Amino acid sequence: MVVTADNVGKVYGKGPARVQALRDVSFNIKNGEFISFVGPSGSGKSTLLNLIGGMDISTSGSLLVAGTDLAKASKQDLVRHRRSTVGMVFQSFNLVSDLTAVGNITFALTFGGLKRNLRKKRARDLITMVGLEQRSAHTPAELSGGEAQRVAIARAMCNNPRILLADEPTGNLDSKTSRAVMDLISSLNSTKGVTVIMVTHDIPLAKSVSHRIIHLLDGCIEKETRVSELP
Amino acid sequence: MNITDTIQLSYENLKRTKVRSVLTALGVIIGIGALVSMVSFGVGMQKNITDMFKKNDLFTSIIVTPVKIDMSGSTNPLAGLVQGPNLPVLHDAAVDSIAGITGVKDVIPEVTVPAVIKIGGRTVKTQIKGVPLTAAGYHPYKDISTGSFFASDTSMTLILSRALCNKLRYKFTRTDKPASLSAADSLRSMVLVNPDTLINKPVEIITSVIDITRIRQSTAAVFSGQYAAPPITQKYTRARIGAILPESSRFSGRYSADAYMPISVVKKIPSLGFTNVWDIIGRSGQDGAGYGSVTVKVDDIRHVESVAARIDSMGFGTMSIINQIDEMKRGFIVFDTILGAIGAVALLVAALGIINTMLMSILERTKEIGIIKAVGGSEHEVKGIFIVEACTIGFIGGILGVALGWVVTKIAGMIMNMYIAHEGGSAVDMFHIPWWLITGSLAFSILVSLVSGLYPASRAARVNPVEALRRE
Repeated sequence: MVVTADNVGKVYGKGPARVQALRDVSFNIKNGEFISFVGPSGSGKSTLLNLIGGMDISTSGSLLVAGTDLAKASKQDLVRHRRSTVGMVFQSFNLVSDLTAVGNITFALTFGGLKRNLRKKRARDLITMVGLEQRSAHTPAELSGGEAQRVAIARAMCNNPRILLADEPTGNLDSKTSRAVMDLISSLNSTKGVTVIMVTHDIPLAKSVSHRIIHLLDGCIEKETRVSELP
Repeated sequence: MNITDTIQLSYENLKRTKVRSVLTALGVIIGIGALVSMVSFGVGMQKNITDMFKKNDLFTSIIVTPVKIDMSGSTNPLAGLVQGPNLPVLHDAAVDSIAGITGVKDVIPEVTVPAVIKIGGRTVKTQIKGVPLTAAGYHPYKDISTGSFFASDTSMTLILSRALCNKLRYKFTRTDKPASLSAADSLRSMVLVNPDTLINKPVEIITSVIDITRIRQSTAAVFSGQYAAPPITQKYTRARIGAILPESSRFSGRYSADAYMPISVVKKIPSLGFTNVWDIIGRSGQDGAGYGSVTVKVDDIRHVESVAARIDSMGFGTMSIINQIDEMKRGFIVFDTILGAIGAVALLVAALGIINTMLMSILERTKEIGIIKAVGGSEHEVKGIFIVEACTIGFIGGILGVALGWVVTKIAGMIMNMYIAHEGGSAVDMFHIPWWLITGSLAFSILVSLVSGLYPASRAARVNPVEALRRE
């Protein structure tokens, strides 16, 4: 198992402002699996993704990701986890607006520990992998939504993570572009064996790409659907 | 991420916000510029005074008097006078003994005669100081360029100071700069002369002596009720102008005079036998023999204290600038600190500018900080980026600030020297920027920027990545 969640809970705020975002959530994710978390707004999907990504810490339960219990991890462990175990893709791309497509990837590589002289080549390889070699010198403002998301995927893959976390990756894209982006993510799962954990409210999209779908409602797992078997 | 990456990222961030970075650095530039110019003024003053002391050999001079004077801060300096029947006499034998002390280079007895000097119908009251031939190697005699030092110890020639020539209403023409008489000069009946034309001009020296015969006559006249002339008569000595001293400092000591003759000649000029209160104090209880004081020249500043101690043990009083040097140093430190503090206020304002700029930068770059953390950047690395940005502002601001300080001191020095030249003085370097001031200001600038950047950097490091990435 690459992810094992056991009664994971997350509470924000105190007193009257207290919000229980996740409540006793338990599940397992196998290595190389493509799993989607679906549910309405406020169901706890993004919170769960942030916990798996080491961006936040659960308030109860244990969350074992690639052998590290993130509930008990130190700040340094979480940094190491974000740097080498996971890669993250967001709905709003989250690219640095002043940097070019290739510059955004090099920027991320700066924090990954790769030697300076290897970074440019690695960034160029990644931009070629997502099919944007002709657009590498363009800034995010000069790229289409689909292109920007592909740059974000390339950036997420820059440190060869075991797990790719995608938070509504097609939320800002039209259906045709969404398809292209999902094909890219699926190919990373199928050809490179990267475990993909996606959050979406688009159930048909989830069904078309995932092996398994976990439905969340009010911070709890409502049901689990197996779409297809792992190859 | 290594330090090179941090510096490069910080540099690129500053480049992205050029105008704001330049304005923030400008605050540092002005602050450091003010600090450098202020402190360089203090350092310049200190250097000028020290150089003048060195030029006048004051650091290696000891003034020896027959009496010991308490200079330890007593409210009444005369209270420390050591009086007694066994007061030593500063006669030639004592001078020879002092000259024999290890480390003593020269012993110059002080012989001064009050006189009126008359040159071409112009008269002035002054003091003629006896100078031994060995003094030719010391300031100001070694710098004579108009005329020459005494050929022998019987030369009937006078060396005159510029101040005395001024009192005689001579204004010297200069080869490098044409001189002219101002309205004030004309009112004083000044005349323009080339100093070279005064050499070999005849001088009449008029001195006063007490006539014992007339004292007797006066005493008899008092008892008989008759008028008698005062018991003072005037004596006339003829000499020539041998040299004119270059413009000298105002630090020529308490035995300074305006006219100089060979010591053996001055001893023979008829006079009252005392010149000032020091002579009276120095010779109290004596028969008038011996010198009022002698100046001892020591070969090295390190020997001044030991030589002074030896002379003290002979029963004479000694005074040297070395005794006052620690006090002077403390005074200069206080002076420099006050000037530096004024400059530092400007730097404090600049520090607030850096804090403001950095905090603004965090607000603008919150999302970017979130991205850095999402791709594996640590709090330590985020902090490092912001600290290096602040230090870069300090470093660049420091370099340009030192340059600004240099320019300001040059301009201020030029203006001050123009004023001094207008008033008839000679140019001086009012400001001095030593290497320690340049490196110290640069280090201080970086330090202030570093401290200013610490709080914003800590805030940046604490940014929650989840909240940061949610920002639009």
